[in-house]
Amino acid sequence: MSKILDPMAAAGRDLVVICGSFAPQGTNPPTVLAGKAEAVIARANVGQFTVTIDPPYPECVSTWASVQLAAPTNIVIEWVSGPTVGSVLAGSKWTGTLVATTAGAAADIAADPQNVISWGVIMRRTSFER
Amino acid sequence: MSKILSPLLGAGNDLVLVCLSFLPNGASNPVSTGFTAVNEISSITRTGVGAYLIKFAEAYPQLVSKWADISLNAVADLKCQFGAYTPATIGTPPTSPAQIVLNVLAVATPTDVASNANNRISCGFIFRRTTVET
Repeated sequence: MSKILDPMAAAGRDLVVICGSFAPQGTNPPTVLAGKAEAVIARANVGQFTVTIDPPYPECVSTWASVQLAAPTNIVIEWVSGPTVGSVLAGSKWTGTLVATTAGAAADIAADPQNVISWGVIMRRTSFER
Repeated sequence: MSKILSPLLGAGNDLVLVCLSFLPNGASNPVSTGFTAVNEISSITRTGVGAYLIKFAEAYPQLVSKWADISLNAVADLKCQFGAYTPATIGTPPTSPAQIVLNVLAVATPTDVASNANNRISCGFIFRRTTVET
C-alpha cells in the first residue's frame, strides 16, 4: 500500500489533480478508459483530442500528457492549446487540446489495447495562491 | 462535479500517487541503490536495448494516468515512451501487481542510456485503489 498520506501537501492545500486516460481509435472517437467523471474527451482533428474539464476551476497550475504504444514509435503527445496555464478562468470550463505528432506532424494513433494516451491537469480550487 | 475531499480529489477519492525514478546503466540493469520510492516497486530491470520493465509492489485495480521523463547530463534527442502494460490481477489470491514497459527512444529507436549520476529516468503513476469510479 502507498505510504503517502497527503500526496499534494507540498504544492498547496487546495490543489486538485484531474487525470485520466483514453485509447485512440484511429479516425474514430477515442474510448475513455479512466477519468470519465471529470472530463469529456473528443477527437477534434487528425491526431487531436479535446479535453474539457467540468466543473470549472479558477486556475490551472500545471499539465502533463504521455503516450503508451504497443511498439516503439516516433510519436509524442503534447498539449497545444487551451487557456494559458496559470490563467484565471473566471468560471469557464477548462478545455485543452492534446495532439499526437510524429516528426512534428499531427498523426492519428491506431486502435490497439496497448495504445493509450494519459493526461492530467492540476487545478487550484481557489484563485488564492499559498 | 467532484465529490471528493482529499487532495487527489479530481478523479477519485481513492487515488494513489506512485512516483519513482532510477538511473539507467547502459547495457546493464539499473542499480537498485539508484531507485527512489523503493517501497512502491518490486523491481526495475532492463529487458532489451533501451527497454525497462517496471514491476510495482502493490496490486492496484486501475491505472488512471501516468507520465515519464528523462534528465540527462548532456542534451540529447531522447524521450521516454511507455510500452505494454499488464494490469494487476486482483480477486482470487494470489494477487499480482501490475507491470509496465518503459522505452527510451532516439526518434523511434530504443536506445540505452549510459550510466551517469545525472542521467535519471523519472515516472509517475496514478492508480485507483478500488474499481469504483467516482
